[in-house]
Amino acid sequence: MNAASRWLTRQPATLGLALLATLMAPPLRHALEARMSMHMLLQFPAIALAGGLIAGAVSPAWRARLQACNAHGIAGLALVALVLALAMVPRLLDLALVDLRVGTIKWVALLLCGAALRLSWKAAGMVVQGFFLGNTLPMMAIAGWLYETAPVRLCNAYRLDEQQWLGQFLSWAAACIAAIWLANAGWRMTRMPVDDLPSPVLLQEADTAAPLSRPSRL
Amino acid sequence: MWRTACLSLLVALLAYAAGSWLTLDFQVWTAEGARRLAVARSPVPAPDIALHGPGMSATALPAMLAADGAVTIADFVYTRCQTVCLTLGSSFQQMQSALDREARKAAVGAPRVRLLSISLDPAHDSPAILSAYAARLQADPRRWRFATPASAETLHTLLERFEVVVIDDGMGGYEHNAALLVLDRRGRLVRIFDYGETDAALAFARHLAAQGAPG
Repeated sequence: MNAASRWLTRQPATLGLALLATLMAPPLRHALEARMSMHMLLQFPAIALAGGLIAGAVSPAWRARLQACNAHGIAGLALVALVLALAMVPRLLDLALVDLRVGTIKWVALLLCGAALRLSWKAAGMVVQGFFLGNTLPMMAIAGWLYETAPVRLCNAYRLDEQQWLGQFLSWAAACIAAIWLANAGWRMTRMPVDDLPSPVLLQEADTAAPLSRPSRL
Repeated sequence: MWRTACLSLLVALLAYAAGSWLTLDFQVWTAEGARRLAVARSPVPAPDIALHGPGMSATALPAMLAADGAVTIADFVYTRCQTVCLTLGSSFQQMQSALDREARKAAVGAPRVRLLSISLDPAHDSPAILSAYAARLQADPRRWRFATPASAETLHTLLERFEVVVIDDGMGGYEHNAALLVLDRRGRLVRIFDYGETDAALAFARHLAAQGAPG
């Protein structure tokens, strides 16, 4: 691998580090944390995205090593699901603003989430992906519904109207992600048998060799 | 596969530990819930700051709370408030009339529970403005007093000690975790109630006032 292509493969990671540094810059950090919706809907995914980009720098050797304890992406997606569950606890949003330890753990956990998602998603396949989303999305929708319908403020640092808006958005986001994944899964499943069919040339050869042995896929 | 199982289990255990820490053993989900539980578990002494208000020169808060062995129910308000403070005001009016009824019935000695509204807007709420506000709410100064910290720094100290979070409400006013704060005779914050729970707050304060000899 020459220097230029090596640099190119590292570029997303550089981008990720730049994104992380930008997010950590006090003016932007305070601006994003000033509102509940921006804290949860913009800052959280942006930190995870930085983590995902940085994970692009993991060498193939290390990827193989990680894969040994992340079969079918199960451990990685379990991490993501559990971090997201904790991120929905309203106390976390308040504590992340005033407690340096919690603030730091929040950043590290979200970076790890992004990295784990990137390193696990493809390996997971449809069954594990479906299980992961089948757990995470209903949790997100229910948390959203609770945020939307709670008559009192759940976070001392944020307003009630923001909380209701955030709740609505979470429920809609869960529904949209579910619809997109299902559409994608459906498309892949209908395509798959066609892709798997032998080419016409091979079919002819197979017909001449054993005319009755062509397996039916239906 | 074994390594994956072990790692997944480790992740699950870590998440459980983190969740248990975050929710104080799965009892509370909000910062306010955690604040109330923490206060109930271990009382928070009032900071040594000076407050002044109508008919009251600058007095140290612990001394004010310790005076004549009464238990205090306090809240935080600001006079320009158009939302939750109005509800708090009516909560306090209800408690004031409950205390009046009780005093008439008991005949001997006044109830040793008093009310204190602390303004979190000292820049605007001068003693004169607080006095007018108190008159509007028909506050009886023997039972219900108004005060505000003498400076912005002392206000900050007080809010921080009692974990009162004040934010901009987006309409030129403030939003804060309004509640009824019960402080014992030693000037310690011992319990926090929702502002609708006037009966519970009063019952708790009376119980506290009746415990042991005054002083």
